[in-house]
Amino acid sequence: MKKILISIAWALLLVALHGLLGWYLGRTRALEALLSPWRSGLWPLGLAMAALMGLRVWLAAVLPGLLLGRWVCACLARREDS
Amino acid sequence: MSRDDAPPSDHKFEGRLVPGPGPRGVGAIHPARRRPLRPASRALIRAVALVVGALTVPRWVMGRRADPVYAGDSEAVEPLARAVAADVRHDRGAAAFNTGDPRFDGEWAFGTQMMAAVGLAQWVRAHPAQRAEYAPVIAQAVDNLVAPRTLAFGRAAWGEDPLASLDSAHGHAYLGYVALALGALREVDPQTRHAALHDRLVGALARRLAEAPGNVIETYPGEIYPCDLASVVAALGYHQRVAHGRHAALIATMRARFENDWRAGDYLRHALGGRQGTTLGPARGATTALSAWFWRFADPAFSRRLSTRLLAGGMQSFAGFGAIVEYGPGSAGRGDIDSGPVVAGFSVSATGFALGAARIADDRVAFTALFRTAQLFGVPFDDGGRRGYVTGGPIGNAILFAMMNTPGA
Repeated sequence: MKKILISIAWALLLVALHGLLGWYLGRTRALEALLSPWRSGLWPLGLAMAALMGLRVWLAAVLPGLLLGRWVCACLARREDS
Repeated sequence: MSRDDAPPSDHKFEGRLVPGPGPRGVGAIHPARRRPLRPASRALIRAVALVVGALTVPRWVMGRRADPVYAGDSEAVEPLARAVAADVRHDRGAAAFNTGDPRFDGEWAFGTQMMAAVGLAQWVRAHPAQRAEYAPVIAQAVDNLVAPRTLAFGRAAWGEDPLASLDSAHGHAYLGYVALALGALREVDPQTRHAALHDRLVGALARRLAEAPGNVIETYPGEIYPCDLASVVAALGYHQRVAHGRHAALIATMRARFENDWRAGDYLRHALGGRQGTTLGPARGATTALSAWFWRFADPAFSRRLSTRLLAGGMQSFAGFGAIVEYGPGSAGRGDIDSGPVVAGFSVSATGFALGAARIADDRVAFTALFRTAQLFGVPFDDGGRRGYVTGGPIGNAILFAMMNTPGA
């Protein structure tokens, strides 16, 4: 249970980071950074965009499965009397 | 029970306390000890959970607004309309963009206003009660569009003012976008002060197209794009509808060229070379999707055919997410400013434009799959009753809005 709670805490932290990156990029030249992040002055935005995309994929596609797997394993762990 | 019989207070057992036989045969409390699963079992369970999670959660999270948007529900779509309207009201022209090329900056500012005008006109047609709110925004978008600063990129390319040289033989095919937006304004406000300009502009484009060898006019000197020609045809079709223009014969001629000469399987050619467009460039998804959307204004049946072909031959789906392959069979490339980033062969622009194709083809399944992708990578954010897309900026908002509320053919 403790591990699951820690995982959820991490997930909430990542969600907050995701929101922060989205807020930041929403107020900048995100589209141009997406098109040519290597162009002078835009690479930090490109990095932020890459981080945002990675976070979205992680939060949407990977994290739910990780938490589910951890929870199922915890439930299925056999118990025996001492 | 003696103190020694009691479970240690600092024991490391993770299990809960369970009843067991006590010293006198009655139930007593004993700790249960958890035996961890075998590593192989744990790995298998986690792998299955990962796959199940990846296949179910994202498609649900990203697709939960798809049905209301497809149905044109005000609550689902209007926040995006508000974001588009705000972008129109605060238009900064090419200065709002920083692509690294003044021409592209200008094209993006231009495209933002055109898509906003046409998308909002579609919205007003479907929701007449909101006409009073958005008609002035459409007028503002057209004012922005015909402003000299917005058309500076065309003036720089041709060395002449595009709207002051309508008698010239130069193509200026991008003016099809302007004429289309003027048609949208005229539909919403038939008495618009731009009605005369609309008539003159469509007349000039029709004349240029009819007189050009092979019915091909240039966008910029030496550059011919079927997509821009489709915008000219769309403008003719819109003018026919809202201003009783007569362009049926020219539209039929252009349809034959698109169908017979510029089609490569399910895709359309992106660029043409030679004065009559006889040299064929690669077949591209973004070109096909946007051209299919343009054709809706001139020939809905042909638009539907192009859209259906694009979705059947160019869309691929995985785990409920859909995307359009940028390069058609026999073509290859790394994308450009028109396609946006091409990732693993899939194009950002083509996928966005294909939302319109899915509406035209009445393909709800394809729309939902494409919508999920747009939600995942577009990164929508709500701000004061408006919903914009982080990665799209003003032009992405305008395009997605116009495509998402495209009426079915």
